Amino acid sequence: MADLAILPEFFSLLSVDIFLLLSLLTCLLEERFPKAVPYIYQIAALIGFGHLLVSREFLAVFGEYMRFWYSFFYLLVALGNIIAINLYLALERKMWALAKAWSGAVTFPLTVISLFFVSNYSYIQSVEFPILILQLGLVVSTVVMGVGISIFLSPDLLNKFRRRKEVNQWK
Amino acid sequence: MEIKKMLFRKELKLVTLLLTSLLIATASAAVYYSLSQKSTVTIAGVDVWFKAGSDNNTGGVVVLLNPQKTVATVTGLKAYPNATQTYENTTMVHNNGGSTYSVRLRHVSMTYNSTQFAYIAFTLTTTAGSRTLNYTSDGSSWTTPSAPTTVVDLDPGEDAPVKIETKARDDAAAYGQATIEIAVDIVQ
Repeated sequence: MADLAILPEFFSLLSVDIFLLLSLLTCLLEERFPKAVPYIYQIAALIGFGHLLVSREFLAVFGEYMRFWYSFFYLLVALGNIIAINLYLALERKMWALAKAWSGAVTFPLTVISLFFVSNYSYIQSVEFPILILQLGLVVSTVVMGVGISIFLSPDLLNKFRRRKEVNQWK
Repeated sequence: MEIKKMLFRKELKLVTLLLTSLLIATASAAVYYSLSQKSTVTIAGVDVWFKAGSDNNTGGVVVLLNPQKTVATVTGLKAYPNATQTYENTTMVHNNGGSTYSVRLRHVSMTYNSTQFAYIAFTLTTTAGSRTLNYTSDGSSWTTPSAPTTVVDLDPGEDAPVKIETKARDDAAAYGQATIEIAVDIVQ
């Protein structure tokens, strides 16, 4: 059973692929992003590669616990970047259609895939997540649900928010 | 013309990024694969070890075992000119495990200051059969076994004696010596 389990470094590999995907997508949409962004993501992916090399060389020194947590943290950084781009497109560039497409095609699938692998790993290897993560997750879920319900009940709220932003811009 | 230029620039950038992405992704996957191939080896307890045989402390024969009983040193063996000397049970190979092991004899090294021997033979006898490792001399040089013996089964709880037969040449001078190191391999 243990032989079939994924290694903690799988999360680093997944993060490297996420950074590379982000690099290519930001290159395709280069008019919407600063020019350096695709290259920064390539460097981030290279850091992940170095990360894997270090893991391999110090496999006996680093315990499985430590390897999991630094790989998981790197995955969180990658997922954070996806969400940050989504927010950048939606709030900063006001490209709602693109932001929706991004969340449907990139943010949601990659978050679900990452969650699937993390839960699978934690189930097989019996990793105990600190209670703080659960609490943070609950807070984030509550905030998102609250915003969602507010917008659902009064759709004008979003338009009001947009208008206020525009007024502030002209001031 | 300007648009064409721009397109070309974007394509070139994309192709470059695509190529470096492929390179990084492949290298990362290769490192991960090599990580998954690293296996953990645990030190297992020894199931097969040596025991001193019934010839120990008789006729000058002394059998010394290391604390783990994985190395047996037999001293005080003699070879007589034109007469075969047989030590029926110097050491025994004991199987303390719960399953049958396949064992064999293998030549490791030989040092000597005389070639005035006819032969020195080691025979391991188990209930399944016996295997012999034979060292012969023609008076001017030794012939050592070039290959290990074939395997023979050693049942759980069995003590397999190692018989040693020696013979010196009829014109052999006294005090010639030969030291032989052999191994008992457990083939799994």
